[in-house]
Formats: sequence, C-alpha cells, structure tokens
Amino acid sequence: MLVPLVVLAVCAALVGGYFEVTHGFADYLQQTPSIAYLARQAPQPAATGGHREVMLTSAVIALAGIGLAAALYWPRRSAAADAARRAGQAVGFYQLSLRKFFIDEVYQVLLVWPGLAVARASDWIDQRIIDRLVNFVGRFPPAVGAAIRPVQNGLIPFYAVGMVFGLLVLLAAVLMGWGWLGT
Amino acid sequence: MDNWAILLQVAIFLPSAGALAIALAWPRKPEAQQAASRFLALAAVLLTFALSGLLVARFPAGSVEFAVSTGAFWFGDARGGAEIQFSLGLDGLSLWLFGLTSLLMITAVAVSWKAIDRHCRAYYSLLLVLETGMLGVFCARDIILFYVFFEATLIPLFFLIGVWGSSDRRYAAIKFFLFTLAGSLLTFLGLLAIVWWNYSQSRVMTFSIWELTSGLMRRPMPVPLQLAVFLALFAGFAVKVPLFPLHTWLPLAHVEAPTAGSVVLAGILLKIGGYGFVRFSLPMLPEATALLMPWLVGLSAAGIIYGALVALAQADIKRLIAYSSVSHLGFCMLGIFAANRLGIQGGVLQMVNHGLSTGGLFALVGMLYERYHTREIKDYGGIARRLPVLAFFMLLMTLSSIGLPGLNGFAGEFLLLVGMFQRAWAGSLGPLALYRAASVLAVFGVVLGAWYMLWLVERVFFGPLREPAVEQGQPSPPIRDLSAREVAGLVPLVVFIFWIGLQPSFFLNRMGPALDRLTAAAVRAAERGGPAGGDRFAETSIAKGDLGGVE
Repeated sequence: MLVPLVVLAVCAALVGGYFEVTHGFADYLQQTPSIAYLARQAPQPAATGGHREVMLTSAVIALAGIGLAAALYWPRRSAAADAARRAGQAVGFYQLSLRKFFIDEVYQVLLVWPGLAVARASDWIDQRIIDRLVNFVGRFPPAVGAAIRPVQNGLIPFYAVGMVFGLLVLLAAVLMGWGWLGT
Repeated sequence: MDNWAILLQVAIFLPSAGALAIALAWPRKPEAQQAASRFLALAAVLLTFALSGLLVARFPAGSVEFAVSTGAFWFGDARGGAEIQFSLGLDGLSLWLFGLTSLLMITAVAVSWKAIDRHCRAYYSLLLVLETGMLGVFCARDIILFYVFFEATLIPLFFLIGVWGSSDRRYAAIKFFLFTLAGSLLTFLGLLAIVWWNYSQSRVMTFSIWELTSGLMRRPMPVPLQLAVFLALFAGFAVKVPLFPLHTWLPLAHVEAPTAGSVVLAGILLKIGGYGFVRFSLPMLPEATALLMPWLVGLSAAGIIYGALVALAQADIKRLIAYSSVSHLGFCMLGIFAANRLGIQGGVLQMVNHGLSTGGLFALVGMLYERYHTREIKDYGGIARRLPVLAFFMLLMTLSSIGLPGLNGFAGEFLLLVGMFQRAWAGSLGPLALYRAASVLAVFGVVLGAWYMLWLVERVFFGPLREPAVEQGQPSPPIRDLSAREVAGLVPLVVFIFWIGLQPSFFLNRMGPALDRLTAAAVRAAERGGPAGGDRFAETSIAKGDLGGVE
C-alpha cells in the first residue's frame, strides 16, 4: 500500500503546486457554458490570488488532528485497538460513525418496509378483489342460463301448454290491436 | 399494386404456408416429425423475417405509407358499393410493430426448440398461423380485414396456452379467451358504427380505414355518439393492452402459457390494443379522446403504479414480469393519451421497446425454468456463478426494461414522459392537477420499476449460490449455460435494444409522418380542451385527404 500512497501524495503535491503557481484552475469552470451563464447572471468579485485564511485554518486543523493522533498512539500502538474496543462497547458518536449513522436502516424503515407493505396490499387487492370481481361478472351468463333452463324440461305436455299460452297471448295482442278488447 | 405490395402479402402469408407444410409434413416416425416441424418452422420464420426486414428497410423515410395493395375485392357487394377489400399496407405506425413481430417469432421458435416435445406439428403450425394473424393485424387497411386478423390471433393462442401450458392452463386459456372476446365484440360494434356513420353522412359505403379516417375528420360524429363509440372500441382495446383494472387475465395467461406464448403475448399481442387506439380512436373520435383524456390518463397512471407495486410483491418470476408489463403498458398508454406529438411518438416507440425487453425477459425466464423446473424467486440465489451468460442477458434485458440511457427503454420512456409533462405544465386546459399528479406518479413508477427488476436480479443471480433441487425421479442433465441456439434467439433482440437506444431518430423519423397525420385531429381537439364545431376540421389539409398534409 505504501507505493500507491506515495505516488498519490507526490502527484497531489505537484498538481497543487502547479495550480498555485499558474492559477490555471481560476477560470477553468467558466468554460462550461451553463456555469459561464450563471456567472454572468450573478457577477462575483474577481478572485484575488487565494483565500489565505481558509487555507491557513484548514492546514492548522489538519495538523492539529495529526498531532493529536500522534500524541495518543505513537508511544503505544495498541492504544488504538483499546480505544476502538472501548468505544465499540459504548454508545455514541463512534457507534454512529461505525454504522454509517444508520442511514441504511433509516431507509429500510422509512422507504423499503412501507413500500413492500403497500406492494403486498396491492397484490392482495388484485387477487381478492379485482380478480374476484371479474370472475363474479363471468358467473352472470351461466346464472341466467341456470335460471331459465328448467323451462326446457323435455315434457311434451309442458311445451303444449306453453304453446297454448303463447297463442292466447298473441291472440289477445292482436285483438287489442283491432280494438276488440277494451283499449 | 407494385412489387413491394406483393412482397408484403407474401411476407404475411408465408408463415401460414409454413404451417400448412408442417401440418402435411411427411415423416411418420415421431422423432423425425418433431425435427421436421422445428426446422420447417425455423425456415418459415427466418424467411418471413428476411422479407419483412427487406420491406422495413426499404420503407422510405418521411413517407406515410408503403407497399400498399388496394382494389382487391374480398367480399361484400361490389356493385352496391359495400366492398370489403383485401387491402394491406405498411405505414409509420405499423412499420416497427410489423418488424418486431417477425423478429420476435425467431425468438419464439428458438425457445420452443427443446421445451416443446408434445404434439410438435400442431404446436408449430399454430405458432405460425398466429404469426400471420399478428402481421396481418398491423397491415390491414380495411376495417373488416383488421377485425378478422384481430380475432384470428385469439384462436391459435387459446390453443397454445390451453394445450402446452403449465398446470392451470385450461382456466387461464378460457379466461384469456372470454375476456378478450367479450371486449372485442363490443369493439366490432364500434367499428361498424364508424362505417355506418360515414355511410349515413357521405352515402359511400366504405370499409377502408384511411377513407373512414378522412371521412370522419370531414364530418365528425356528434360528441355523444363519439363517446359511445369510443367506449365500445375501448372495451376491446383496453382489455388487450391491458389497462388497469382490466388486466387480471394477463398474469394468469403469462404464468400458464408456454415460453413462446408468453414472448409473443407480451411482445406483440398486447401492442394490438395500443395500435387500435392510435389507428381508430384518436383519428376517428378526436373529441371523445379529448373529453375522456382525464380518465384515460388517470387509468394509465394508476396502471403504472399499481402494476409496479403488485410486481414488487410477487414470488414467482414470471408473474413478476407479467405485472411489470401492466406497468410498462401503462407508460405507453400515458404517452398516447397525453395526445401530443412527443407523447404519442414516445408511446408507440415504447410499445416496440417493451416487446423487445419483455419478450427477452420471458424467453430468459423460460430458459431458467427449463434448467431448474421452478419459477419461485426464493429457490434461487447466485445463479450468475453457474450461468454467467444467462445472467448477462438477464441483466441487459433488465436494464433495457428499466430505461437505462443508451438502451431502447430510455428513448421511449423519456419521450413519452416529456409529452406528458408538456400536457400537464405547458397546457392550460383540463384538470391540470390530475395531469400533474399523473406525470409525477409516472416518474415514481420508473423508480418502482428499477426497484422490482433490480431486486429480482439481485435475489436470483447474485449473493450466495443456491440452486433449486431438480425434482426427484426426473433425469437431471448437468445444468449448462445458454446454448448457441438460445443465444441466437436473444441476440437479434439485443441488436435492436442497442440500435433504438443509440439512434432512436432512425426509428422515430419513419413513424413520425404517419403518426402526425393520424393523430392531428386528436392533438388539436386536446389543445382546444374539448369539442368544437366540426367546421374547423374541414379546413385542415388532412380532412381534405391530402396525403402530403403533414404538420
């Protein structure tokens, strides 16, 4: 791991040095049309060299962090492992950090579980309500058939009676049409 | 009738000729008969693909119609003017659906090769008859001919599901058949009403779709009649799509159908519904379309979300993909019913895209099933280690299905969503709040789509290896990765998945002019936000039957 880190460190130093000397990055983003457009819309004061105070502050914080780590762990390397173990038992910032601030779990509870619950409910509705409704509609024709099927009972006298009744109804209709039976 | 028109007719009926050849195939020995059926079917679909590929390739960009055959009296009363013509032709709307059909049939035959070992002769004959029906339905220029092909697709598929399906196949086949037939009978009434209205107004009894289109643009139906006819057409087309809540036959039919049946059903037959809307409802009943738009958009958006949610809850891979079809077809319909240029183009392109990706997904599920004899997601895990080639194709089809930029799904989905957003935000008419809610829900549906598809791939193909125990008593051949035959069935789909994804304009340019012409009236009616006097249609070049009148 040492060699890649060295390569990265050397390159980072070179790039930083290059931009520090040449200011080559200063107007670079302006070449992107949309950013140039934004810059025209809201003109910023021209950059003056660098932001010394920002650079200084971040450098001081970084060095302080390195120094703190060195003071804690340089004399006794195993102290790091001890600290990790102690923090692992405790609750707090270390745990939060170790578990990625529980972002995955929060998503699981807020999005995934409700999503799956709604999905299962939809599946239930599909199977139990919509499909049954469809099948219910499909029962209509057979039901109507079953209701009028007894008429076709195969008994000749029954059909004869039916014919007589039909004839009477027809006759009544015709007579009514001629005005012989009341209106 | 030029040579291209003859070629088109040959391409449509070649599969039927193949079916006849298979039915009459000479060998008596069962094995020889099986082999003869397979190879004859393969030859028929390849030759059909070559012919239709030639036709599609020669379709002149920028023109409305191509390879048109007219004047062939079919039946009716030629002297009395009630002439039903055997008239076929390609236009921008039918072009890619026609091409897709001949392409997917190669996949269908390739996935049946080993999977079907009972009644091979009947199986391949029916599959080829089905191909003629599907090719014809997209090319018919006569309204009766359209309906004949429309119904002709039902019968072969009924038998394909009912005979070669899995355990619950009879119930599935009957449900599919009755559901579709009940709807399509109402559609037939609607089509007759269109013919009748045109006759009552112009005293010309014509069944030609283009003549009816321009006739109804010149003399539109009164709005109440338009609404009634629209609902009649809707009954058949919405079942076919299927639009929520008329979809319950679909998962059942898909789960029970043999793999090739699922491929063809999802890939092509569902598209006939959307095709019908764009071919008949939008051009002939523009005001009804505009009036019903809030309902249609609402149903489409509901279907997107509902289909995606139900897909998320499925334990069976095939059912999951079947419900994903409900969601994806909701997208297509949303674009079409947005009734503007981008929406309609996106919707029609997305129908082709869905055919490619979902056809491929069903083929892959079939290949997985052939190896392990189960479709339960929980039986699988880490299969990518055992079957890396299958996993590769599965992931590719999944990414196409969820609309990864660079693949076909993105082009269609993006266009139709932009169309819908235009309708919701740039328009000023209609229930904008509903349109906006539908647009947002549709985008949310894209996210749900990624969720259920990627989760499926993760559970089945990644993680620790968990192979289903192959059933006891079955001779278990060693599980092998995809064979050359299976790869050959998938590669054509992959080619078009990339082609449409990388160069969608090639496809859009060829469908654009016809779509503009077909949907101009509906677009204008939607922009007016409802009906107006018919006179304003009469002034348009389209109503005057000007073929070049492209906006």
